[in-house]
Amino acid sequence: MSPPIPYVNSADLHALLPTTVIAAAGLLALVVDLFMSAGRARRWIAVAIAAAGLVIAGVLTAQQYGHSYPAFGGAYMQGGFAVVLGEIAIFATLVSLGLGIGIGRDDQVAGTTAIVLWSTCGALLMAGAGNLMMIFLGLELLSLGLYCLCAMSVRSAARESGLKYLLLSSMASGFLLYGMALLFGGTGSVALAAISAAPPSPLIALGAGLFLVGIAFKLSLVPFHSWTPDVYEGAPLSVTAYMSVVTKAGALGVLGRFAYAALPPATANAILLPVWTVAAISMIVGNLAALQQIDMKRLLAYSGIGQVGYIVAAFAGQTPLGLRYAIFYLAAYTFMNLGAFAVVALMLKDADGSLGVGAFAGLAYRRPWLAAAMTFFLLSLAGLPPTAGFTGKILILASSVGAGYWWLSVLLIAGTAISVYVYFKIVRAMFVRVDEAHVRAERSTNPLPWISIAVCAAAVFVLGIYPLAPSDIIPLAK
Amino acid sequence: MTPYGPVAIYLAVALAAALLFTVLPGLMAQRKPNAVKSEAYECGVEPTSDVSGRFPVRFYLIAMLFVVFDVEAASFYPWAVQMHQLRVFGLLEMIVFVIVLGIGYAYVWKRGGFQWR
Amino acid sequence: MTHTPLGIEGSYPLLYLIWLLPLAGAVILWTFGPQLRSLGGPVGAALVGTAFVAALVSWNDATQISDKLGGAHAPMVSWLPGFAFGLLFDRLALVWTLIITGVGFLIHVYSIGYMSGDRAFARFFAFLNFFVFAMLTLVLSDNFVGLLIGWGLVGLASYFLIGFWFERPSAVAAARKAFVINVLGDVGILFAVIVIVTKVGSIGYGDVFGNAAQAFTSGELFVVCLALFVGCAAKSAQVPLHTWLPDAMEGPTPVSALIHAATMVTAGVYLIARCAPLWTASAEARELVGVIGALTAIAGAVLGIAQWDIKRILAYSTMSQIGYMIMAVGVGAFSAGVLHFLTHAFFKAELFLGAGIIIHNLADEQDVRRMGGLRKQMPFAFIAMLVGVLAICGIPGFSGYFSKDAILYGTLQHGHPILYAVGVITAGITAYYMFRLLFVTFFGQFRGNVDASDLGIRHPDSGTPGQAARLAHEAEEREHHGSGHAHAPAWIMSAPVAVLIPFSIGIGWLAIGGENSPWQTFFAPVFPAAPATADVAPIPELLSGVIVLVVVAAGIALAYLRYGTKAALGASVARLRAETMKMPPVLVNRYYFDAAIDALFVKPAAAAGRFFGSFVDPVVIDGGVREVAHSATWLGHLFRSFQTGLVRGYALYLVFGVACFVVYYAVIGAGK
Repeated sequence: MSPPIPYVNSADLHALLPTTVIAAAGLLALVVDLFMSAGRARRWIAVAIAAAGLVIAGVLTAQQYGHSYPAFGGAYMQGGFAVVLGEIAIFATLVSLGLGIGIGRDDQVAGTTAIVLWSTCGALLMAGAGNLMMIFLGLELLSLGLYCLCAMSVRSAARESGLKYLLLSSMASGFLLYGMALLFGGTGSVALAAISAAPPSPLIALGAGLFLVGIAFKLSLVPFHSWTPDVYEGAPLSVTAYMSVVTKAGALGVLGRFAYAALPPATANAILLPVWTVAAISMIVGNLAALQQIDMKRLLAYSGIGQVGYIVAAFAGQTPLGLRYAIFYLAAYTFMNLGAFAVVALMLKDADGSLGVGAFAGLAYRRPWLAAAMTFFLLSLAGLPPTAGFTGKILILASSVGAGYWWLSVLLIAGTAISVYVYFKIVRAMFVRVDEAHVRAERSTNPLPWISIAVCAAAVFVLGIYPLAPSDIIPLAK
Repeated sequence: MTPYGPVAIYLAVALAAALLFTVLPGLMAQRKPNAVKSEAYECGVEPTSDVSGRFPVRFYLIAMLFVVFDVEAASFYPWAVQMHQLRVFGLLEMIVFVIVLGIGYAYVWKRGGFQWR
Repeated sequence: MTHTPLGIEGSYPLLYLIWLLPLAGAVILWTFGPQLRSLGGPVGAALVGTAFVAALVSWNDATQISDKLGGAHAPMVSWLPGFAFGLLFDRLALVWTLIITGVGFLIHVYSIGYMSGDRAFARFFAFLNFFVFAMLTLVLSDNFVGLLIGWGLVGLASYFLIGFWFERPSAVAAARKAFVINVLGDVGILFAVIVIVTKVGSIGYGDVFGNAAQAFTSGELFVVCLALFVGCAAKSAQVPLHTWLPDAMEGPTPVSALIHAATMVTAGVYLIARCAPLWTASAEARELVGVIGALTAIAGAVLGIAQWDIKRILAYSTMSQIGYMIMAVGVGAFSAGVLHFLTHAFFKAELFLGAGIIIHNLADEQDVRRMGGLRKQMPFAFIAMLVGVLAICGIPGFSGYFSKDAILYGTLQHGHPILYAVGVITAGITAYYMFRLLFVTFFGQFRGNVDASDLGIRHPDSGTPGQAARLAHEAEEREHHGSGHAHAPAWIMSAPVAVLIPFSIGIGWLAIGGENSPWQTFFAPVFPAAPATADVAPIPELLSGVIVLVVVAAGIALAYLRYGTKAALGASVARLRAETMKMPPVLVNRYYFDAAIDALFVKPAAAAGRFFGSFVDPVVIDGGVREVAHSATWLGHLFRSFQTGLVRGYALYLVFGVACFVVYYAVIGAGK
């Protein structure tokens, strides 16, 4: 006689309600699309259903704020900081879908929208995952969707992008899985909490190392970053914007829980040292490589590598506030990065196109509002006041200096200095008068990115001048 | 380390054997290539093109659809075995699963995934 | 740090109105200036006038007292802990607000006449309104950061207005000079604010003053006061940061009257009076500020002797009078200093506006040698200037008498007999050069038609640096001013002056009654009691008054003998020529201050600039930057060369990273 199956109670289901709503919205979009005739309306309907689902899920997630408990026997940690990460992922999904009103051709939009939503489900699961299996499930759900989405364009670069992501990501998943197997071997349990309880052993150290490789790949930290520029450049703009935030939110949740809740305090610093090292390398290499880029998506890819380096640096020393600051900076990065992507979207006639840095020449005279918004976002990315990027960076610096990681702080400042140069090249280009005949000036007919710009700019500004209150509401890791 | 000692030995032996059999022939074998020897071996027919030729992508589509539905149908078996222990919750779970699967099936059908065009 | 309340908290809607009306005016005039055209002036004036009325209506808010706290305090926003921003409207702020909006309103009205026909009529009023807003920000802030913001904004407004006629190179140069020196002062205040925030942890006046004793050692307190005083010295034209003020006379005359006489230049007096608790606690700071104030007073007065440009004479007298105020607040006689600010605001505005009428009517002639006998031509301007001169000289019955007397006697009361002596001598010199101005301008014969060289005026290199440039632009100026105005002033210009006359006479009467005067009673709750060292003055106040009067009378007599007698007036042309030739070079060159700054700072800076420009920048910095840029570019190329686009390459890097990780973890794992 097999042991009785523990019943799933309603609290467990309630914990997954936002995820369920998003998944159901994806199904609904698919079903409704089957009955639609060809035309542009299909795009709007699919995106509207997705938006409705996301907004409901956002509200439901917000209601979880402050109600923290382990669901499904500890497989999913309800509440806590996952709420903030979840909201970030949901917001980023909304903005990404708005950049081009869905992804792909009119008849593909319902399908791609559903895939985007399910990928978001994966990110939400990752953010709240409490055991290794849930982490892997979320990660694969997120990645599987992205393989398709990256290739969702007629351009051959997009297909190349999808294939590269598939190959490299599978490889990284392999390492991650191997690491998980070793951790399981070392502890005899899939629960993260079991790791800190188990006696230190070589299996756990090696397992943690390979596990962290997989996470570093998702966060695209150098040297696990090599896929990022090619995939970002090749993928459709909406997908690039989506990946640049949602995968980060999910992976950061995993890394945060792993670093704060899973590792035994005695060995945690030694185990995490390589992560901070690759974060430091990322800050420098990402920004240096961004110097050379002429394609906007590629530039944002490299700058994103640097930005994620800052975020991970906040964990240094595992100070209690480090995770809070990391999540605050992720929120700041979400707003400024998506704002910049929305600006790029408005400068493209076809949301699937690519944009050279040269298109920004003289933008301040052609489209002053757009140039002003872009300048503001770039200021924030460069970490100058009065923006969220500035406050976030100050908080991270305070955290790493407070933990005694001076070398990390110095490299962070050095990376910032290089990044100022990167971003101001664009700002300068916008304010130089040029002959309009020499600039490829396109316009998008889609008004949705303007909403994103307005929201993001307001958020960047508010987070920039009210630094304490917003980061205070982020729950500390347990 | 003890329980994993045999594993390590096994790994080492496997690695050594693999290396041995790839490296040794290169070192030991005599090489006297001529045109006929260098030809790919195919019984009777002269090889006309590279081995990895092109074929229609529809094969892939059909194969993928088969794998998807086949694997998903396979997950009925564990449920069926445990049905009594899982009780109503298991039934509801399976109904949801079938609905999702059905929607996917309808979608593929409506979009013409099963037609050989 | 313990939080110390400041004023009676509440919501005071009128306060926001006072503060923001001028800002609204500036925005409206700036945006709709071209549409408003000649309506721009009245609109600007009306808004400032409304702010004045609102300030009068709020009188009771400012003067309310309960539980040792005085005035209205309206908190607005609080940011980080210790960084709370709000408005404070107490008695001190009330005095300044009334002057800024009241005298400001009169000068706005005057400007409607003075600036009529100017191409940028509305822009002028936009700037003027902006200045009023900035100045109100300065005096209404309840914290040091707000003060610093206002401090910077008035400097900016002053920069705009000095350089208002930006087609004159001299105006642009003067504006730049004023701005640079003012920024130097801003840096001083910024430094003080940083020290305050570090030590006290708050920027609010209440917290800072309440915790100053615990938070600062006496040395730190002196440093804070010194840094604040650098700001005061720059803004209030105290030695050695005074050189911008005479040059600032390049701006339109109403600007000189409002900003460079009545309000902005007295910001230093306000700051010290506001920080009275700090100054009361630091004897060294009192000493320093008192000495600098006295030095400025006498230096300005002596320079006033040597000037021929009517506005420059007034500018040096302003510098000298602010020296008095700074001396007073420096030694601790706060209410006397503030009283002199009040009386000075009226009589100096009146002097400037009177001079403005003359300048306006003589088609922008500012050289007193080319005036003369204007008493009959412009009787109104004469009466206005006469009242102003009598007031500034401290003739009994006129407002200046009371305030100057209070200051001089205050120095004695606080134990500074040397400063007293300097002040008395300065009063004599002031009487001399102001009456010289009066005689040369209004008596004798009109010399406007006398050849310039007969008067000793050498063109183009004579007099002030700005003159040559001004003359070059005179023709153009006349053109756009129109030619039909060179007669009696329009009522719009004389009315504000007429309003100022009774105030120039009577405002000082507030101080009648010594310790029990309305003025002393008004400020009794604001300023800390005089420190214990304040002994009874060695001589009674009456005797002090008599001494001052005798010295002043001597100054007037000397001026009369040299310029006012029949013989002197008859031979005025030859006299002025001889005097111009004989003028001591040290005065003509203004103590070589500009030359010294030139030699000490500008020339070395220029040399350093050349050195940097020809060697350091291109070779060291540029070279260094180029090297860095090169290596960055090289590294960028290097990283890009890794980015081959081939998946197998990427997989290789991945494996490389994994290998590094595995080695590391195997090592730490084996260590367990």
